[in-house]
Amino acid sequence: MVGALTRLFGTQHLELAEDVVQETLLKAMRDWPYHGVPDQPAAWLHRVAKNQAIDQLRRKSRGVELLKENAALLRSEWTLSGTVSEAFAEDLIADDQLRMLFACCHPSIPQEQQLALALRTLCGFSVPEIARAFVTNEESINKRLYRAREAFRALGRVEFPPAAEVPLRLKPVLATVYLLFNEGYNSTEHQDLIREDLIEEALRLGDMLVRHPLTARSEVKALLALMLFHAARSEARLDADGAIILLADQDRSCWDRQLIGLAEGYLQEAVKGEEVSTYHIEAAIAGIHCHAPSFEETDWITIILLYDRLLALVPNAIVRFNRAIAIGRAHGAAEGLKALDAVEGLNTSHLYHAARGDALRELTRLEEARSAYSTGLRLTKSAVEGALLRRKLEELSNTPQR
Amino acid sequence: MSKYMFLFRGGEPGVDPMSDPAGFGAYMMTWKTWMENLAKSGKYLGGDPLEATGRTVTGKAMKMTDGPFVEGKEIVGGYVIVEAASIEDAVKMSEGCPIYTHDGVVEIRPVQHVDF
Repeated sequence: MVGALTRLFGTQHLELAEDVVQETLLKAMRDWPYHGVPDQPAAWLHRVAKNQAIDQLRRKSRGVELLKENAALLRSEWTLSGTVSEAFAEDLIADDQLRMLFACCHPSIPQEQQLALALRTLCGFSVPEIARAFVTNEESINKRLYRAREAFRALGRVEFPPAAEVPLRLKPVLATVYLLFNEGYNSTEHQDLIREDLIEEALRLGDMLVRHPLTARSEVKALLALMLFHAARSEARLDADGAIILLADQDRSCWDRQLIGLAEGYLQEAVKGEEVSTYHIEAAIAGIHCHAPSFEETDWITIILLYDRLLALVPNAIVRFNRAIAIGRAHGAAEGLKALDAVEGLNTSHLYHAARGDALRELTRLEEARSAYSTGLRLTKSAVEGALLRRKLEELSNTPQR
Repeated sequence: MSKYMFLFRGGEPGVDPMSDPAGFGAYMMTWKTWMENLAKSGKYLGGDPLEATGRTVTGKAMKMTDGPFVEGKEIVGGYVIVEAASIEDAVKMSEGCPIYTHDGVVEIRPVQHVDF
């Protein structure tokens, strides 16, 4: 709804749009407990928001500067109601969200602000929720949103980029969607490791991008495939108490075969494109895991090759780290540890130390393993990840020295 | 560029907003489409439809009568102000106005420049 309204008013009136939506939700909270939830809640909300928008425009539109091409239409009673209604028409709403996504991810807005803005305006997250998702306090999110809004306002209008610019403009959009997904899949701060709400929002946005003719490109399909492959396994990643179950120990029958099939379908379509993006490779790797009958029978050799290709595109420490783990699986713990030790720049990552601990334990260098796990434990902020490392330390104490 | 006012007279849509809201909505959409095209050209400056009721006030004593004051056909039902290069241009801009399909009249009047 904020998207529809912002397209109508112009980006400089983001607050006006948010006010309308806020008022609408308040009215719902006041009305629904007394009159019951209406048969079609979404339609009800749209109708109320539409009327709110018309009211606001009747009262305020004289003094404010509206988007030039809509100003005359919104100021005249001939066209006010029709123009607002049309903005709310169902088929336009998806378009509005995409336009809004592009606007939030405009290159003039710094990346960390893009995601905060998208979460606030497109996903309806509260400031405390965003603060939690970002491992920071509300004040800094408010600052971030304030700056993002300033930049947003300067855009003037919410629109699709010209077709020729779509590939370039899509990059930050996809990065934002993937960041959102990752935050849901591997919550850095939150008590719960998996945040279904964030995952769902990311999948919803991915689905929207894939459906729109302008953005249905191969890298978008690859990203959606990647997210779906991961999402298919999310149920199996935690036990009843919310503790982590490692990939090796997961009950593969719990993986969602339907999502895996869907992901595979998108990946097949994605590889038809000429371009190979990082999302293609990451999706292919996730796909291999999903199709492997067991952890041991995973095709680690192919995974290493895929990581090599990924490294050629993004030569960073995280990729080297993941490649090192695959090497350990394919060629044994000694090779794996060598590869891990060659990775630079991950000394502050608890995952890195946990992986070193695993390799050292396999090589029965137990004291070193203990020290690696302890370092990891000190570094993690996630309760669930911390519990896993503690569990590993305990197992280590129970392992007889050879 | 000069300003011109379109005064709309008559042209009852033949649909009642109360008994046939969808039909009335469709009728209003034809107006919206026409005005949107004007707005796109950047020459539409505004306007509003008018209720058929009101007051007519006459003279110093402000003698008041209730509207409607004239026959339905002659009531001004609304106005629009546009910017046009000439009266011919303004006439051309009224093309596609839905009132023509409902037996209505558009009176096109240049806004007068008043110099003291």
